[in-house]
Amino acid sequence: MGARDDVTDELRKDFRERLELFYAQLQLAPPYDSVEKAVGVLVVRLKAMPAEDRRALAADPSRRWAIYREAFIASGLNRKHRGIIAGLIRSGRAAGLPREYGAFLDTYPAPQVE
Amino acid sequence: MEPVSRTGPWQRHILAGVLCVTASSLVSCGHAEPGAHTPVAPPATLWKVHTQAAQRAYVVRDYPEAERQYRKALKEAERLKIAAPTDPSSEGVADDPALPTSLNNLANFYVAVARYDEAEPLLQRALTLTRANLGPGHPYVAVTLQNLASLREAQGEFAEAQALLEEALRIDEKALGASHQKVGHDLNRLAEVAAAQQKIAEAEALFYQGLAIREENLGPDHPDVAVSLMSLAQFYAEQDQNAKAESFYRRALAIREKKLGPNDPVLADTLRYYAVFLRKTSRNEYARQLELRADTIDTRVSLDVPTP
Repeated sequence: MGARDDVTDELRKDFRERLELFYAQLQLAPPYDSVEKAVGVLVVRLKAMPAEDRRALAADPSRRWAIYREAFIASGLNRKHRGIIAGLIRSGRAAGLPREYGAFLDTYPAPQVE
Repeated sequence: MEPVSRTGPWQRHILAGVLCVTASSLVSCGHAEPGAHTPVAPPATLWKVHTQAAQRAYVVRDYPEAERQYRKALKEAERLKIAAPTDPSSEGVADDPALPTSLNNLANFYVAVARYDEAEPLLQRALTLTRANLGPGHPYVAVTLQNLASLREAQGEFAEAQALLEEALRIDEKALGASHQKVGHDLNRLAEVAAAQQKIAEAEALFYQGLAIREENLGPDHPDVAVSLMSLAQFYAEQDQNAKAESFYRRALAIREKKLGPNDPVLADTLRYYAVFLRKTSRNEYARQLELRADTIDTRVSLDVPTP
């Protein structure tokens, strides 16, 4: 049980840190209640997985980001600051984020066209 | 959503919104300009203590504490039954506007942390209150409308934001005059929302109108003029009109280097925005130099290190 919890804890911590970096890089206050919700969604999903799958996911960056993205969307984080973040993406200010953050950034809408 | 007062084109706008202490700084939340009609600051009260505590908590990112303090300030304002001024003909105010200020402050905080549902009723109440007490054509009403517009922008509801900003502009034009510097600010805000909707020609015209008013009122080297210049720089950068963008970035940077202190975070922002543009146009080494300068400024600010 200890090893299984370690993986969940590691991913939970990693996800939280990724979110902190995301909002810090965009220089936005994090929607802290939704961040907690997102972390909760992640933990529920991880705990629903067999331990072996969880370990495999932890070892695979692309699968990690896929589940982070799912939690990001399911918690509603992608609807928070969406007008602002869409503007930051458009202005190039989100370009400083590491490439994998595209998993979050591409959940924001493209500019509306008249 | 003006770059001068923000960490980024949008976010520092919101940050500024939660840093309001007094009614006069409430106007800053709505991006009013110096000299705009502002209610007088409330006297030192428990209300002010809570509001300042909220500010401090927000700055150190203790958001739950910031919320508690803003709520306490609002409760205190309610207890004192302090309302907005009652004399719409007055440019100043006779009464303490703590209650609408608290409503706006807490709402702006909720916008900053993306709790939109909680922001909405506060802003609607502030709007009702200021309209009733000051009259629908008072610039203070325009400020609240602009805060409501910021909420809509954050939600990505740009068309609604534009309608609110247009109403605020009409109020200010009528109350303050079409060439007042606050109107210049209003036009810039409106232009940015138009640009967000890809209304390119409309946005461009509004940006230039705002710039002209600011230059006329403030002179060509005023920091508020740099706000308009930065807006135009970013606007043209997004349109890939790089020569125009470059020209505006340089003018804005020159003003801010000259007029702001060497440790000013706004200067750091300017350097970063320009650096993004330089990277886009493949001038990575120069971009890196500007980013290093910006990092140095931010480090000094965060450590409160005096300028050498």
